[in-house]
Amino acid sequence: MDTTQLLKGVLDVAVLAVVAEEDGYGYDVLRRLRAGGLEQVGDASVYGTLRRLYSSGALTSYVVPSDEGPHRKYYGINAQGRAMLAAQRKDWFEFAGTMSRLLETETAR
Amino acid sequence: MSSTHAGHGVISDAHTYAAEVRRHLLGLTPEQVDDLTDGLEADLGEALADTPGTDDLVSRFGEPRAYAAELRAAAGLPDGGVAPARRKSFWRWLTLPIRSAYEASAEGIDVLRSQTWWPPVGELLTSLQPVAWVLRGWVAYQLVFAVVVGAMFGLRMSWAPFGNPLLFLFMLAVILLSVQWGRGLWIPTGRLRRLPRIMTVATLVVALPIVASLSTRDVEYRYETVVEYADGPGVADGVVVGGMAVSNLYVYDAEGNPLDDVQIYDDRGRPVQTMVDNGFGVWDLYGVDEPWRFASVEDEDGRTRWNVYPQRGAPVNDFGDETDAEGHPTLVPGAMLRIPPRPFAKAPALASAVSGEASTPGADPTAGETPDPATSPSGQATTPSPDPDTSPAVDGAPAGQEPVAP
Repeated sequence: MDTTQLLKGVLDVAVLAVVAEEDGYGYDVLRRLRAGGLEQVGDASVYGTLRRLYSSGALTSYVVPSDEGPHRKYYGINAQGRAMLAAQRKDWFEFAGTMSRLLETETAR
Repeated sequence: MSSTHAGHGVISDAHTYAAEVRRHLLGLTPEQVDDLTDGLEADLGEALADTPGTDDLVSRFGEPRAYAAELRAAAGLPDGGVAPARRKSFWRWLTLPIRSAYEASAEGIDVLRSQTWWPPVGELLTSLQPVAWVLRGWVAYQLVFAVVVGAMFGLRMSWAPFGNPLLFLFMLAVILLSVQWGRGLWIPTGRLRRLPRIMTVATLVVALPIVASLSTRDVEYRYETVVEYADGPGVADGVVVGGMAVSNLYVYDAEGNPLDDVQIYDDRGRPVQTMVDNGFGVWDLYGVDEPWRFASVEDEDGRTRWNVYPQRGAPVNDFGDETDAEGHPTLVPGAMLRIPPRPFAKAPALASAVSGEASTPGADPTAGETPDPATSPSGQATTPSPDPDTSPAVDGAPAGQEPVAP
């Protein structure tokens, strides 16, 4: 199965979970996602997702200047983002449970 | 880990790559592009530094065009085509100055953002946004007022139409609309999405002349008010010598001795007053450091009289914070009303007084055309009373050499 297709649906909640852990800039979030096991995730997908979550009001953003080189744009979670994360986390567990039950039943037959 | 040199090369490459990505985001507004790619260089540079051995960004991140497409799709922005850009070319040409200004200002903001002091300042400015929304609404109201209401009904512009409930409600409604726009509510979608922000900038530009005209009008108004006052008793009354308002009058008898408590009337029997403000004013006296305040005299009928000269007063510091029934400051304990320094201890005597005998009407400076010229060779001065029906409540003081009256 092409996991990149699966990933599309859950990237939001994955990014929210990572940012909720600790504020991070684009590449930092990407690195933590990959370290968490989502090896397939694309750079631009993560950055785009961060921007979209920010635009929708789930994340805050601030710029941290760098001593040398370009500045970094950090993202942090806010109350709306936490609420979104909680709801999506619940959805995910329900969905995963449903899928697990379904698939187990199918294999049991 | 890369050396400084290698690191620099990576960043420079990341710049080129990021620029390519931006180029492929052309269908979006500069704002969206900025939003999508802010900090991209840092992310690219660090990602590249994390994978040693790859100097070619295209092999690491793929074609910039694909990268841009992925970025845009993940951000939930619509796919930009080439065709719409061509179709809009005239529009783009028309709006080029606006867009250039916008991009330049965005660049300027980027420079600001990279300063260490920016975060608190930026937060402060962001928290002031609602003020801009209210101001925007107010300016919009003023514009509508000036163009429609003012022109149709000939009403004057004002800071707020307090006297007109309907207009006031209208103003509140416009401000509310502006604030709701600012909050992202009631906002037109699609093409007009950026209208509120443009309006904010326009507001700041338009607000200046409006505020300027309103405040100069206020100044003019105040000026008119002052003129009204000046047309009143301030200039037309009082005693003026050589263009200067006179604070006090000093009277000398024929021998040149100073007289105290002299009442002065004009030819119609009106009291001649130097104080036209009931003694509330403070006077700078010639040759006296401290400003003085003067007090009135009461006659036997209990009336306040301001035409008894020389008027007595005291330096302002002798008056305390307490006031009497009429609101005049009262003297501090121990202080006394007194006559300010006279211009001369003694004036030149008149020829008739020196020669000793006959007093002629023409020689008496204080009596004028009154029937009883009042000097006597003995040095006594009688009260000059030019008005027969005014009782001499204030006695003519014996004109001694001492200026201080009992």
